[in-house]
Amino acid sequence: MKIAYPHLLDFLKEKPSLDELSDKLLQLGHEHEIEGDIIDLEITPNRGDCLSLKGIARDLNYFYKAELGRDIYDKNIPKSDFSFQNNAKDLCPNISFLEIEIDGPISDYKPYLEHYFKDLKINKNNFFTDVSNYLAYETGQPTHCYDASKINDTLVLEKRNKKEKFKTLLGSEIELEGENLVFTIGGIAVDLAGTMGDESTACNNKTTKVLVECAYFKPEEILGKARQYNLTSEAAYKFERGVDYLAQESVLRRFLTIVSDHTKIKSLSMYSEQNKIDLQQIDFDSDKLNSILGTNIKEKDQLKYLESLGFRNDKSMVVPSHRSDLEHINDLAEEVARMVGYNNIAAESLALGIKVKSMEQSLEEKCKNLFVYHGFFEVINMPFTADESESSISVDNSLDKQRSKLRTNLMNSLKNNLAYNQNRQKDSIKFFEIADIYTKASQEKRMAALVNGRSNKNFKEFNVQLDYAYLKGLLNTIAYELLGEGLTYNHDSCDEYEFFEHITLKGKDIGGIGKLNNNLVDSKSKTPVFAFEISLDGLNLSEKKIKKTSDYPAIFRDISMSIDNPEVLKELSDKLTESVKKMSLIKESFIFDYFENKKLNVIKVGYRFKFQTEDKSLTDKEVDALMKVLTDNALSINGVNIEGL
Amino acid sequence: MTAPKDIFLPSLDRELGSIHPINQVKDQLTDLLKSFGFEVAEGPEVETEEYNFDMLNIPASHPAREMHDTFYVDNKKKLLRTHTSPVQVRCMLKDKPPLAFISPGKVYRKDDDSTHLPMFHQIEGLYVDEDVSFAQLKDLMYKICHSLFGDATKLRFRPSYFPFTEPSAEVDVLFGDKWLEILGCGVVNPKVLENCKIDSSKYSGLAFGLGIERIAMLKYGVNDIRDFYKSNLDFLRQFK
Repeated sequence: MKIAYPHLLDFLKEKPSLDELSDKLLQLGHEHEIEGDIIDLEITPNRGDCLSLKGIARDLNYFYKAELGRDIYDKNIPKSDFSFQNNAKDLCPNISFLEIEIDGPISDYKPYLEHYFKDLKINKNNFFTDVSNYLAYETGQPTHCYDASKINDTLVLEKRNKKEKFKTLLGSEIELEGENLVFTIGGIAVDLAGTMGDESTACNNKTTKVLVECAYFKPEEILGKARQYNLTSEAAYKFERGVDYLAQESVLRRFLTIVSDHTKIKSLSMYSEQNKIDLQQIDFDSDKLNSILGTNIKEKDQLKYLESLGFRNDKSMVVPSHRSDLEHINDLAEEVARMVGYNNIAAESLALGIKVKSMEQSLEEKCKNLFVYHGFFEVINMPFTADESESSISVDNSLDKQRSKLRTNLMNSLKNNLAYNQNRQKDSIKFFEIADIYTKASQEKRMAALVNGRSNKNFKEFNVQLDYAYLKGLLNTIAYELLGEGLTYNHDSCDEYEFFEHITLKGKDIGGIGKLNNNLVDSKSKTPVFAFEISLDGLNLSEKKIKKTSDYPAIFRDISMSIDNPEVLKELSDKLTESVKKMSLIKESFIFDYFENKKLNVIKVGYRFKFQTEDKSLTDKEVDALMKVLTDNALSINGVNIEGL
Repeated sequence: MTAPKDIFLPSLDRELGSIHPINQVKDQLTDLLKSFGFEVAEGPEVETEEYNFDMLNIPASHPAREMHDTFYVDNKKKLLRTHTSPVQVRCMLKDKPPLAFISPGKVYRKDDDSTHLPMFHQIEGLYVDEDVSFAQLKDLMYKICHSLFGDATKLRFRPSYFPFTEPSAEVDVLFGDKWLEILGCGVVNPKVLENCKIDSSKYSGLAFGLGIERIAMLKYGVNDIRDFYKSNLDFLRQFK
């Protein structure tokens, strides 16, 4: 809301400088920018009462003594005999009408009216509408002017659900639909209540007889209407935030005064309905107020601040009718704090009466650290997608069609991240993301990773491509080192992948890993891409049980085997893993050598085993016995040979 | 003395990756607040109107509820949370005071321009106990801002409006000669406590919320918020 500094000074007895005024406005919570003499205020949504000169002056009263009184027509006004029917008293409890007839068109405005248009660079319209606009600026109360000569039947206020064309007074044509609060004449809507009137009853420069409507509408009834019909309405903005529910008649009397400042009034009459008249009351407790703020402000000072804002102390605190935002003692505490200044309230040391919780890292944090150590970059993606799936949740009011669903996996986002970077000549990409996924059926925390291109930027790894074994190894590291469990992989087919394995942990399917189908990545690069996505739900860090370390020497034994078929490797690996699990003397085992001789179509694989106990030195005989079991198990598999045996 | 040839060999350098800068700031704030005694709580991003608005005293007439500000899903049965406060509602319903929670996470608003994104991150905190005051809230805000931006940082408190706090404040921090809004905070509205079955005559609370992107932009000198979400390796590499 823009106001002119000189206009505001007219409402203040003391005349602060613009800088001083700016500081005080900020202290009171009215953010603003200043350009020349114009103050552009950003009033918070709860302070509809401050959307006017009078409202701002009222808030500044304590500091600069507000002078709110303006000439007002205080004589008796005859009761209007015009016909009005209020069928929506619950939505519009208070409403007044003023009928005025003047001699003829007015072109010369008094200085206060002229300055309003000139200083704020606002275009004039017609005299009555101009008075209405000025009055909203001065008092915060919107009024609507009908050309009274165009009203030839009962004016009805009603909420109705009717699809109908409506041409606004600004000339745009809209179609009303759904439930709307409207003023109608003969069943035709002539005013979208609190938002904008229609063209057929609007005033123009020739209007000499006007019917001015001034109402209090329930804010929620007006909320969103202007936006719904793509209208710009200052009135709706004010009604949405709440206007003074007792001001209607006095505002119309002020309207009358402004008109009479400009011309002779031939006739006038007024009609009023007042159903909402009770003022809000709040129990006042000075000690409680201080305890909320953490201050020691004397009761008399608290009352002085509140009274300056229009509160009346009458056993409880009576709230003025322009403040619809106040209900309890905390609201009063805020009012006092604003007057004192938030920056003038001393901070009081706070020690939470709560013990510091565990600072241990979670599984998610440990996974992230592992990824980072291995050169992965974390990405965060928006959850919106165009991908349709039966389980995906639709966004009712999406930004566009491309973002009309919530994603049901992380992988599609990672593929987009990959393509973005491949298209920018990146030849070594390692990404991961951890995020929640929402479907119609469930919510799940997922972790996904993707690798593509060169292993690293050093002389040994530059020409080594990131491959399936690399990514699978990383996943196994997470499983063994963090979860304390091994994973099981089962080959399957999947449209998105050239090859794919289901991953299970303790018999539960937790996700999949594979080589992505390059045709489904929006990039020209055809270097292989490997990726996995798993659910983190139900996965927990393994409990660390520290075992006594052995001072006795370990014995290492290796087996080198040749395999004529790569498929045998999995069987071999499973069998040896199973055997090792049963042998408590084996403390460690791993593949230390792997070589594929493509010419001879033979794979050489070497396993190393570490034997050790905590209570004695092992003998060769004991180790040999276990090695024999391992070799026998290996040789029982078709296609496995051990040289020398 | 002849040097061994090993020392002339090129070193086997390896590149470290990085946590996303937004999560780095989120983690720093989380660690800081955990050290004060706050516990981390998480909750769903797809929420109900009841938890996102009703329980937080956000009236039916509040503009935030409109379709142009909030993403509704599944035929308006639910919404994408517009703040992480619903997590705190769930915490208050579950536990009895004294309680101190922070809820870091993603939130959604129907914005998409050079300064606003439809998804961003917040960290909100709540402390409920006997005799919690606005003056104590100020102390906590000083501690947070001084930890983030240095002990000499100047702060400014301004009255503001949040339906779930009363009094409500916004905190500005002075960078150079410009005050920049950093966080919102306030004394928990007694209605919110009552909605969460906490006796507001006995307990009071303080609440605060920070936008993580804003702090990350200030901390790292990033001018365009959209850079955080392009997943550009050249950008991400700078946050190791």
